[in-house]
Amino acid sequence: MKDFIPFIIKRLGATAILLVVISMIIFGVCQLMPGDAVDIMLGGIALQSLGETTIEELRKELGLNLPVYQQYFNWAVGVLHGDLGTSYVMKAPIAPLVISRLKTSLLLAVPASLMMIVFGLSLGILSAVKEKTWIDQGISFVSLSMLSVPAFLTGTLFIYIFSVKLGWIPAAYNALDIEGMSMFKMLGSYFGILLFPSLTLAFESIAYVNRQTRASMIEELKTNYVRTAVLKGVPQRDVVLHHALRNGLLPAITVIAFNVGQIIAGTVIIEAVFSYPGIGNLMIMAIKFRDVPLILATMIVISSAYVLANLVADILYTQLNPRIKYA
Amino acid sequence: MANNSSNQSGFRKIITGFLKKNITTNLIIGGVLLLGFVFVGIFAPYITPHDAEEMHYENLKEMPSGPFLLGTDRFGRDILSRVILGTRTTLLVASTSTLLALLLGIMFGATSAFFGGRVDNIMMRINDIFMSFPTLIFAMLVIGVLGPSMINGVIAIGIIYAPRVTRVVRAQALNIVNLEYIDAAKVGGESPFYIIFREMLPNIWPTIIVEGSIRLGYAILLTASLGYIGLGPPPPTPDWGLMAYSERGYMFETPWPVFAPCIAIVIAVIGVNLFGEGLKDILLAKGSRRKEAKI
Repeated sequence: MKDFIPFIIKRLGATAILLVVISMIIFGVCQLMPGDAVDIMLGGIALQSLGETTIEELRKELGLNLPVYQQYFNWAVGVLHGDLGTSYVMKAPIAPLVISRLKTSLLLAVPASLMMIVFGLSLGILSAVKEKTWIDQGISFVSLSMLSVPAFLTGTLFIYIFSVKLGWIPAAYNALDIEGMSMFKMLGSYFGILLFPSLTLAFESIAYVNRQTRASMIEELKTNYVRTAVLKGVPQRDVVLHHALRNGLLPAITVIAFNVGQIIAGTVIIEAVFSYPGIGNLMIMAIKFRDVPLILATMIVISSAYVLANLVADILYTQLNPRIKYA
Repeated sequence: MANNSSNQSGFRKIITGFLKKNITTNLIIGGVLLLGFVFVGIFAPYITPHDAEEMHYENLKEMPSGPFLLGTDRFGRDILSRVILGTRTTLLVASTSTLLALLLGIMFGATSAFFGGRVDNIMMRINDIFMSFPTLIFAMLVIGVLGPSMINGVIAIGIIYAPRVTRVVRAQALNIVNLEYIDAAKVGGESPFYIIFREMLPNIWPTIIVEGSIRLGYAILLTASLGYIGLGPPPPTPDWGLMAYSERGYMFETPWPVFAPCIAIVIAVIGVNLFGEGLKDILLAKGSRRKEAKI
């Protein structure tokens, strides 16, 4: 425990550096985009009718005449102040837009993470306990096929069955007033509407967590201490849930934390499938319109969330496993 | 024996594996599916029943029937023909990008392991940086800059998978870099290039082949996903992901244009995964099986 504080500080420092480097890479790659902001803002015809001087002035105003490192610096300082710049296409400040979109995305990501934990763990434990029975094989088969199916097919299937055939959920979510829903209304409408997008989002991760839990639980259930517990007459339920799970959970927890990152990144596809007004769709739109500040903002937000989820995975793993030395 | 001897070359391992009838049903089913897709991909223009671009105006949005085995889409284009041609783009992008990733990964991984010390340290930190990008996001960034096309898809997927291959190759190479025959080669004055490619690589082939088959499955999914969000080849091209996206608004009338390419994707991925599992059984010893690789 004594080493814990320095370890955390070291990890946080490394993560901060990592985030800076990532932002540099994203910024640098975006600079390679052909044509600059002025071309995008004005479009071809306006560009010709305006004189060279006006365009130069506009460039200067946007800070595009500065060297790249200075542009990056200005942008990074802005980001640290909570200013993500102004979207060229929407002609509005990005920060509020990204925050509200992030909130709607989290409405999918948080329940999806919970589903991953609940279903992934319970299915994994179940198939470990019932190892080599038809229950285990059934679960294994289902989770293997969950890994072979692209997320957009799962989502499309849900839409086809529950929207086209049964009419339970809307086929496109962009017309819904998701932001306007209050927390309580949210909970009610959640099960009606948002359940399927977040289930789709959780699908692949459920399979991963399930497989990891199964593998580590099978290993734990074969150990001597579990056999001792069984032999001295502890009920099977207690052996599994109190003895074996404590150790079997370890590898699973890392996978869970890592998959939270995957879920955050996975929203992009899910939002495209359900036409859901979240940050992923915002990013797709930004890329299609070549709106550089918006691309930067959305990418930074999603990558940071991903990196932070991995950091948590790292810390949890070392924290929960006393055998690991803090490095 | 075939699995445990470390000084047996990878290709010989495959052959002895086959001779010893180490072949599992996974390998057979996966191999057949994979070969089927490669065949369809190569001969696509010759086996399509209709022209994939031709619009049959009298047969818009038809359900599967006589002349159109999988029906037609909203422009009256034959879906089966489009799915068959789509095999070509998807397999081409997925396999080339996997090859690119393997090539880069082998280069960086083996070099990093061979030189060790500071070189290894710096290269691995750089590797960590690229690994900390979510795959799809990074691919979107690269394609967003270069513009959506098949070649750019290959570049994007190849680059984003390379660090993941690098890590696997390096880990394997570290196992053998301290063995005596490598030392002997060093003492013998062989160049690093020679040692890496002639002495080290032949012994890590099995890992590389298995890694490649795992990557290929992911690459197919990623290619399809990129196509789905409109960052694959542009519209008239029959691309699986693109077809699934652009036809989904018409699911009320005909679900086939959406589901036919999706089913093709699933079969292809399952085929590749089974094949990979089968190869793993042959090539990698039970104890050294890698944990589930994550995207």
